[in-house]
Amino acid sequence: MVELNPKYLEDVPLTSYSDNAITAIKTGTWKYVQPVYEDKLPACSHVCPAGNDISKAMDLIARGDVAAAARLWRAGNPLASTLGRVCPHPCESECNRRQFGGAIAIHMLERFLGDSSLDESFLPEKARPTGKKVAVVGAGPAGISAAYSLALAGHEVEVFDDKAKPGGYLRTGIPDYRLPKEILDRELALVGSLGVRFTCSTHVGKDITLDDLKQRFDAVIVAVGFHRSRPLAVPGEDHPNVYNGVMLLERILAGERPELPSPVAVVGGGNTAIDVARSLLRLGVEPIIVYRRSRLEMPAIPGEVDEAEKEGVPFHFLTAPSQVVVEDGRITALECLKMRLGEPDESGRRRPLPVEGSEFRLPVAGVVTAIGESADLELLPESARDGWRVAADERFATPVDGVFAAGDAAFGDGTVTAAVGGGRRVAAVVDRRLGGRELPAAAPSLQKLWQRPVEAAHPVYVEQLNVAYFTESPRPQIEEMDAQARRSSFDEVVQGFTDEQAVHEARRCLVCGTCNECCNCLFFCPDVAIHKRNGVVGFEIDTEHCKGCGICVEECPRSALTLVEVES
Amino acid sequence: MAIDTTSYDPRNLHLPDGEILSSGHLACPGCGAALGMRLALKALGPNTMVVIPACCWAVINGPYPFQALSVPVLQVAFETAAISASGIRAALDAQGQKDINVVAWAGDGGTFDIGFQSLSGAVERNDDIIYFCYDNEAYMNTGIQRSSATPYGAWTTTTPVETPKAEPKKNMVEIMVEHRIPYTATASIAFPEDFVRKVEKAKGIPGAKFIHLWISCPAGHKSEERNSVKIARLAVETGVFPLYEVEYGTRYTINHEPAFTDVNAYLELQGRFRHLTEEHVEAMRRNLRWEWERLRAKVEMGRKLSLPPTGVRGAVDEGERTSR
Repeated sequence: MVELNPKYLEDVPLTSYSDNAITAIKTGTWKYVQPVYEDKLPACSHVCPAGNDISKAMDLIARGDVAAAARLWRAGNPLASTLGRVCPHPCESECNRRQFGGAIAIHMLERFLGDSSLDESFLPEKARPTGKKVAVVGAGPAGISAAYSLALAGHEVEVFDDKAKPGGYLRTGIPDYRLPKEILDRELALVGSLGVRFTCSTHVGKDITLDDLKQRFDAVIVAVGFHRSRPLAVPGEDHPNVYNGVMLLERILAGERPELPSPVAVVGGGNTAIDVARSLLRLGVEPIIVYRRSRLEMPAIPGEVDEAEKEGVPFHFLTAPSQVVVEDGRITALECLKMRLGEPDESGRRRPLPVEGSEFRLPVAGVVTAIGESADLELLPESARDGWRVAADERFATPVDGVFAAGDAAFGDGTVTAAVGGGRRVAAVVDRRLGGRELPAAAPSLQKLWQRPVEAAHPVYVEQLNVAYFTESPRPQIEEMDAQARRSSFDEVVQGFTDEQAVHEARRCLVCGTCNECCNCLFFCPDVAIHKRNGVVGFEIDTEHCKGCGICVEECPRSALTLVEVES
Repeated sequence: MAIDTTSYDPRNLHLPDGEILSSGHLACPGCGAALGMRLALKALGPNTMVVIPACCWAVINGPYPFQALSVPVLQVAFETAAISASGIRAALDAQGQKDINVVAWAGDGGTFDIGFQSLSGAVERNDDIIYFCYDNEAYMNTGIQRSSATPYGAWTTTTPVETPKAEPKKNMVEIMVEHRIPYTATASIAFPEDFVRKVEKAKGIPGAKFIHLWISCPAGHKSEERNSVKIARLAVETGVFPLYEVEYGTRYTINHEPAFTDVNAYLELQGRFRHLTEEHVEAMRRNLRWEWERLRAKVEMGRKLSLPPTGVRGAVDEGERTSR
């Protein structure tokens, strides 16, 4: 040991001693902005007509908690299995993953979630009975959805339908190769298990009046949909071999195998036309689709058009029928005019214009009309009609007190998904009304009905993401029945995901707008001011020391953080 | 449902959990030097002593009686970081305490310029220390004066926009490599896993180790605080700051193949380059290509060469290379 001269010890401490309790310095007072964790609306959910909380569910599947994901999905959506099969999935067109290997197959995961939760244990908890009663007219997707949400809110719901079984167009208009009826039946049974009563073979407006319903129930929701096929309005249309597309589909779906001559012209460009053509193909009849605009303007789901093409359905675009040619009592041809596209009309699509002198004859033995449908509104008084639709405002209310409307008959959105979303929203409005509260100026947005709060004004697009953290990962091949084999079978075309495929696909989700604990904020903070929260997903910010630099916000791959001004 | 979830981990970064840096330190908001120290100490662990010369970190560490690191810190004069670390190493060795990491943590001024001779001496003797140069490319702490680490074309208070720096940055890594020390590496705060791996590797190698860490400085680079990691990432992805390591002055490994994003993406986020003309930028592009040509040639050359023989100064015995 070295001897020290005591002289030095008087002036200078032997060692300088520092305490590392520097946390006493509250550097958080320096900042004028600070980061906050804020769940944002992902681009997919922003366009989801049914209002599904997609990214949260994807994250739950990725973590292996399929049951929690299914419960989340079914919180306001009774038709997950059905929608997974028939939805045109606009979410996938918006998916931010599409530049990094292809959009997430969200519809396949919805189907997977739906099929994994076809029993009552996945239903949300029902609220206590309110003693209020609601009548829903029409057991289609809008009516089912409204009934589901209202039953969950504790109301007593009865659904009326003129058909023998509930389901509406899902049962009578969507072929089995897209939607097996067993799936629909199981989802309807779930709705029934909540106490919803289905009163079928009862035509409101004939068997029972709207006034009757108004007296017996505290509120009525009209969701009758579109079922009337519009006529072609060309000579020869009254021939028995000219079929109404909607009715023909209904017969086929009921199990009939009608004998049709072949080939048959299917006139129209919507889903009914495609469904009829693909069904006829399976009955051994040769269909030819005749549509007056081009493929781009077709209102049918593009994927379904692709499938029809794969199965070998021929298309005649820019072709409009002018006459059904009948010789010796038999149809021999459909006389058509060639069309060209002019300026866009009120629907935003380019208007077809006839090319003079372009008549030609398409040799066919029969014709199916599928040029659009309209609603049967006879049950409503004149004051509650607005042309082809129910006069419903932004609150889904009609001018008749206590009567609300949803679905295609009111808004004509034309998809099952929009009908389900509309059902959720009208249910929220009716629930408010039944609770004795003032009606809002407009029905709440679908995201307002979510269990978790999100900033709905700014959906997260790829520009808000930090793409430095994302690498390419290819979208999986979706298994389908061989196109040739489909021509003789109404079996489902698309195969569902296995558990492994579903988890793998969900892990490709970028989880835009929602923290999934990637830890970037945690590790990039120069001030060690971010900490893991105990027991729950996510982190918390030590505002006493955070200097507000914003690195965490910039480095968050998914825009789950926002910089906000500090209140002085 | 039988789903294997054990492999699911959304994390982008896998880093050690331990924290030796604590909140409350005095770095500016968005400071890359603070983040760099945090990451380095995650890898070094608590068995570490840190020597800090005059530099930003002499301030960041806090006023007496506080300090931000929960390991012993010795603050020394500007030119003495390396030699002070060497001294501590010698003292610990004399006490038989071989398992303590002795670290010098100096800025670019304290490394490239003022601390250069003592650093050269320490590594020439192959003293068993890890020398970190956290490089923000100027004397930021004293008011953003030019250093020999300041890149071509950059504004500093001593190279104003009328006459921005005309000389290229000194290649400090190559100077260290030519001392034939066991380990030399570059690192970036935007690539924390790479950085941590290099520090962990350096811990296991006896002899002199030099790690050149590129960091952002919002005050001196005239950049937005929130962009500190982004700019560091772009420095790598544009090819301006290659991530590579060199073993025994011979074996070169490029650790991250850049995307070679156009250098403008890096320049435009920093006010210190705002005055540059397209001609300047084109000159930079040419220089980048030339630098990368050189670097790749060295990788090739290193593949053909054997490691230096044992017994030669600077190299170590084969046994020792893996002993620690």
